[in-house]
Amino acid sequence: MTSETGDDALVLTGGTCPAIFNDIDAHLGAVAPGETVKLIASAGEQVASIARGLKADGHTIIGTERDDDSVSMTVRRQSGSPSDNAGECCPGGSCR
Amino acid sequence: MSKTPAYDLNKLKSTGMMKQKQGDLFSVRLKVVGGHITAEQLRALADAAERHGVGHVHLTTRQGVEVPCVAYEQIEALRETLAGADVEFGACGPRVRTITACQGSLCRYGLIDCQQLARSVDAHVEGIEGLPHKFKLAITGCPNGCIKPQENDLGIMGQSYVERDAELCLDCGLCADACRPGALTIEHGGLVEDRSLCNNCGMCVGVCPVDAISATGCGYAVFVGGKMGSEPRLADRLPFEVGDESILLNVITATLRWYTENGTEKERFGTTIDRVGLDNLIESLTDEVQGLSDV
Repeated sequence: MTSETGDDALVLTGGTCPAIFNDIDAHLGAVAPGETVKLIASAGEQVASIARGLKADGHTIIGTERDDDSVSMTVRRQSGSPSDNAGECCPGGSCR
Repeated sequence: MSKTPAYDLNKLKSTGMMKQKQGDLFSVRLKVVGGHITAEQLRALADAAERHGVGHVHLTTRQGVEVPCVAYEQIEALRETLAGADVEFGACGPRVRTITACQGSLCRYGLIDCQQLARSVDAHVEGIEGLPHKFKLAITGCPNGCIKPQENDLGIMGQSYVERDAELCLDCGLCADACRPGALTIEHGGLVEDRSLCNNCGMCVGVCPVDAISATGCGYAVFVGGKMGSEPRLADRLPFEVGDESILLNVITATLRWYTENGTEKERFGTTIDRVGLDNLIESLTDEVQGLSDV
């Protein structure tokens, strides 16, 4: 389950693949290329998986803040449509 | 009941035909390298199973395909049916068996092209006879090890060699989140590396937001002596980095030669290693193969 916080951060903690990648696509799709969004993920494998997917899609992680259990990432959207390079958690996005 | 024809079971077994419990029926093992079968081959398999078997095939535990319940008299016809789709009979007995491989370059974690390597290794070992027992070989694209290299007589694992530019590093810790073996950790706000724990999975490269960690190349880790069955044994990792395919093929050749020279009849490779000594094998490989570098 994901949610948006008051400051429009997308909270992904506790979410599961592939739903979180769909949510990320939608969140990034709501801003223009070059603008930034904030994503909050669980520390460990979840944030690593998300960071890997974002980087593979050409988005830029421009900042991170960490507390005990979660990591907040500020992400600049790449130019072009997010859906053209949808974050893939599985080979070929096959789990979607 | 038809009269039992005369045949050489060992000869049949050498080309993939295994006699069943049921009379003169055979389960015919096919050659499938790296689990790769084309759509055309699948259609030919379906046709062959209906015409020469009983309408089904069996998928083996090692990515292979067998056509069961083939009468002896149907074997050559089966061979001809499959030949049209470039499907050959496989191997049983004391030989290098089906080479298993993951999808490698199709997988987002894959570090090497396992399918290409499987074909290359298959061509390299083709025709090798005189092994003490069966020899199973597996190729996996990364340290996730989906193809279970540690359960094979010889397992090959893709490796990514990386370097970190400390000046570019932001100490954000995303690489530490991605690092399962704990080679990268954040301590007191700074990134700490312990290279001795690194398994060369390359996950840190994929997450670094500023490309402070980059891959310097790929290679192979080699595992030897694994087996399952009634006396399971996980493979030992050889203490070498193998930097390119030609060296890897030489390692395979030298390993098979050592096994042939040291193994006794019906003795699995892992048992030979336990009896003769892993150090003996390592010394032999070091003497015989140029270009190995220590881990």
